[in-house]
Amino acid sequence: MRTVLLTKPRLPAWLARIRQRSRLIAPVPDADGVLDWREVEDPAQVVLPPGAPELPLKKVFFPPSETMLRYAYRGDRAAVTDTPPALEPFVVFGVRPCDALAQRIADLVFLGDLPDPYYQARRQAATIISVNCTEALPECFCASLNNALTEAPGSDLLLTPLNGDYLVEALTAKGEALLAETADDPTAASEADLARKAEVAAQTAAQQTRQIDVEGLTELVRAAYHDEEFWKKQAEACVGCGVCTFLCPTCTCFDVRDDAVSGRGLRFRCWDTCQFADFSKEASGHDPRAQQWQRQRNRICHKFWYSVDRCGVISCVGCGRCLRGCAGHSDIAAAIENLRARAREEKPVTADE
Amino acid sequence: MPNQTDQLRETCKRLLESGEVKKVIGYREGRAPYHVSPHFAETPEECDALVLTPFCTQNLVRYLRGLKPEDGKVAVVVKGCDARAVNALIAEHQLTREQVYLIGVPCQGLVDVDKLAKRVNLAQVQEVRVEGAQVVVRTAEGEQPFPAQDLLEDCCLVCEYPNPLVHDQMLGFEVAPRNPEGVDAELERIEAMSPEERQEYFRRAFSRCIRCYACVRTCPLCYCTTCFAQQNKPQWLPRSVGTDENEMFQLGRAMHLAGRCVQCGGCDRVCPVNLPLRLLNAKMAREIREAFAHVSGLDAEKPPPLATFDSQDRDIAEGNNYDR
Amino acid sequence: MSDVATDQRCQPCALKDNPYLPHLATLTLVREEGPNLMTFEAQFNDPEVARTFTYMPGQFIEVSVLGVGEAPFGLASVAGPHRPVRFSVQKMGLVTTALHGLSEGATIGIRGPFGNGFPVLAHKGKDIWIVGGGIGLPPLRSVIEYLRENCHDYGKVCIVYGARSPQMLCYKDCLLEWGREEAFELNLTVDVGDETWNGHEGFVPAYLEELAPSPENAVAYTVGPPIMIKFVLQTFDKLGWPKGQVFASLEAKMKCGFGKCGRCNVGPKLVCLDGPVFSAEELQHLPWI
Repeated sequence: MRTVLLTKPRLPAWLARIRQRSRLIAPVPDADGVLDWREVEDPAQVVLPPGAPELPLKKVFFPPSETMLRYAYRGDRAAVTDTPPALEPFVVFGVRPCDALAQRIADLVFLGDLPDPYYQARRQAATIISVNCTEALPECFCASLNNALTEAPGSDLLLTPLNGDYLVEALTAKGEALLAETADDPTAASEADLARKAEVAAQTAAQQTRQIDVEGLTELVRAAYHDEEFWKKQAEACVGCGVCTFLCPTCTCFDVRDDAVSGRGLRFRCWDTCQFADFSKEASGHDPRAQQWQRQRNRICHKFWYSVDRCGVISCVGCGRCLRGCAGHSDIAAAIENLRARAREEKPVTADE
Repeated sequence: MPNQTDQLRETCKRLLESGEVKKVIGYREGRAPYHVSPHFAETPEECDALVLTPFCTQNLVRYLRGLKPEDGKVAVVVKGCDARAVNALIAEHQLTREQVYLIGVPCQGLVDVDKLAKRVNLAQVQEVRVEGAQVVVRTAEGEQPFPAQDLLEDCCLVCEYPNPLVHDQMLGFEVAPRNPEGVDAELERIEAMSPEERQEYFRRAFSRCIRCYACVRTCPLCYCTTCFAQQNKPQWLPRSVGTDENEMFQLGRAMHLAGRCVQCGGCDRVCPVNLPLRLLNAKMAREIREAFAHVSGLDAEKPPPLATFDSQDRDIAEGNNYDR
Repeated sequence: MSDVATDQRCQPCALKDNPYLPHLATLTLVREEGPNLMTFEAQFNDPEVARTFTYMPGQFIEVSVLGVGEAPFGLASVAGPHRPVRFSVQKMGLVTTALHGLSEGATIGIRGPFGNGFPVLAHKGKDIWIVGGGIGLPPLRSVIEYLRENCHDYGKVCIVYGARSPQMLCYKDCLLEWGREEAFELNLTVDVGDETWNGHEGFVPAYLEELAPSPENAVAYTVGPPIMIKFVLQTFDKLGWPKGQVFASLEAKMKCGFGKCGRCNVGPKLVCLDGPVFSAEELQHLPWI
């Protein structure tokens, strides 16, 4: 795989060439200055603040809502047409390594067993260009969980800012092809550049003040499952909104609903979350997670236990969005710390007990 | 004189020890010096974690939702806006005065972390104090004053009622309101827009909404068991996320809060996509104030105007018919 | 994947490689079954689908009323070329209410089959105990009818079925037929009888305990309200049945049916993908009730 150097002033021209070749999506502010994953018209629009942007990359592949089919009735007979997603190739630029990794984790759900065709079409059409972090936000903790800063799994290309230049690493054949087609006479990178990249990653990691210790974590979560008082305490300030899960780059739950106007309409899916009161409530009124603490427990268990059981990975990448956005000011890293404290305090079972 | 925090802890310990209250809802240190979390103390020892800082943003009255008489009395730390929320809830029969012990905190205004981040490196911040017209930020390098205008939350800059209007105990002395005249430059900027401009502004904002319902769930006055926007039978509006549906949701919520919102800024603060919810609700509050001379939460006896019918209503007396 | 011995599921029959697209089908039978309970049979509009749509007992389908939504229902029929698909529906929420308003000839959508089903292939040669409660019988009918069609492969089939009242026993026509079947033993009970009832009175788990089935060369399948399942499992425990010989089908709120939408998890397991059938052995590790 190629590794090249791109000088900073040449970045806009490179993006412009990519933009000529296909759609280019990146964090772009709207007229109110709010960033979102938007189509880039001019590379100068792209804004890359430190840390993961407010809205997760998943939005590009799994939009907050999308039409799945349309139908029309004639009398009581219906006809259905499907709405296949667009397949034109596109490039996503400015992805943070945590988000790229998160997308790979989301793939395990969407592309595992029977693939989700809407998601799959977008994933296949996309080339992901990640831009490494040089500055950590106080809420970031990826370094304690994964190798995103150094290996950037899930990225097709990885850009690491090195003083005035970008080290550009092709990590997949897709990235290699994009680089070959669009890079304008790049300089080959040296061993020294790679060493500098490692330094940058280490510096960013060192800035991260919080962490999640993953050692034996799944077992700890599993062991705490039935400790109702513990989970109630953790969820005391939870207001039951969807921020933690909607902003989470690996949360992929959705609802499927129909919308009808006089005999014709559509079926859509939209983001949904285990935090909402009607998420798992059956029509009979029975709800296996009727209380908010049970819903928060589900979220934590899913990240650190269920995902590990089902997909072999912890589905928290340490982007920090859930704690940045939490209306109840909860902190997933602190919750895990409390879990460890709980395990330490637990009385060892003695023979006479 | 003991400082406010010591006073608060002593008060809460006494309340729990004497059994006067079952629980105290206040704030504790959060994950950084510019962050606090709600704190729920049920033992005197747990009261040692209570703090008061200019980052005590949440309206804790929200956590009274679902409080039943048999749950016993709960003490809540309330700022001016929070105390108004209590009044509003009492006026709407969601709470009785006897259910709560209100620990009033005169509020000099809350510091907006986003504004702070634009001026100082958050990682360096050790302490932040509001001192009248100044906000003093202490870092390892020393203290630096900033004009309050630059760092306070928008809702605090236009606050007319910083002192809890209802309380069982007040911590510290009353403060002078920052905005006794009710001037709101941001709101006036929106009001000065043409209807088309205004619509464009709000629709652009609504197009960003991801329907996480953080605004609803964090609001002390949004106490509906199920928000109309999440209702299934009947389904008032689709769950799909789109500018039209989002607009229906946000305008529906604004209408529902008209004359009820206490402008604590909670929804605006938690919105992950920066919808101008404070402005929307402030506009509704201004309309209600002009039409009905009603300000939410000033009087626990006075129900919100849109929830009452008065045969002496001016429109009825004057025979106004807006259908024409 | 499921821990249920020898996964034998039939994979979903996807339209245009899109498992979210329903096959259209026409209701050929709409029958009132009991209070708020209706039975439907549907025939796929596409003859090719009608010929090839296949499933195993205990699998489920997602049924669409277009414009209203989709809901999962256990299949109550046995698969076969051009055989109608049967399911029964209790009026509860939006979709079930809409289904109750439909008549024969109406178009519905069907996706599936989903889930693992009961491991009938792995249990050839064994006695099968079928324990059902209330509207748990329709999904069990798929097993019972399957066993009836393949009776030479199995030992005796003992059915224990109960409902709150005689009126609430469903599939009464089937019960009559099964009662006449030589290889079948039918044991009915109601919680509270009335003047028409001269059979057994009492809850299903209690009746099961009276009947005291032997675990020798036998397996049990149970479907019913969660609380009944809980006590049925306890009863089998009490009767000395190894947990690996008892299987229960769970229900959960579902949308997609194949492990994507995320709402039907019971601990780390997804009811739609890893279930709905779980062995009592698996259930003891799951927070399912």
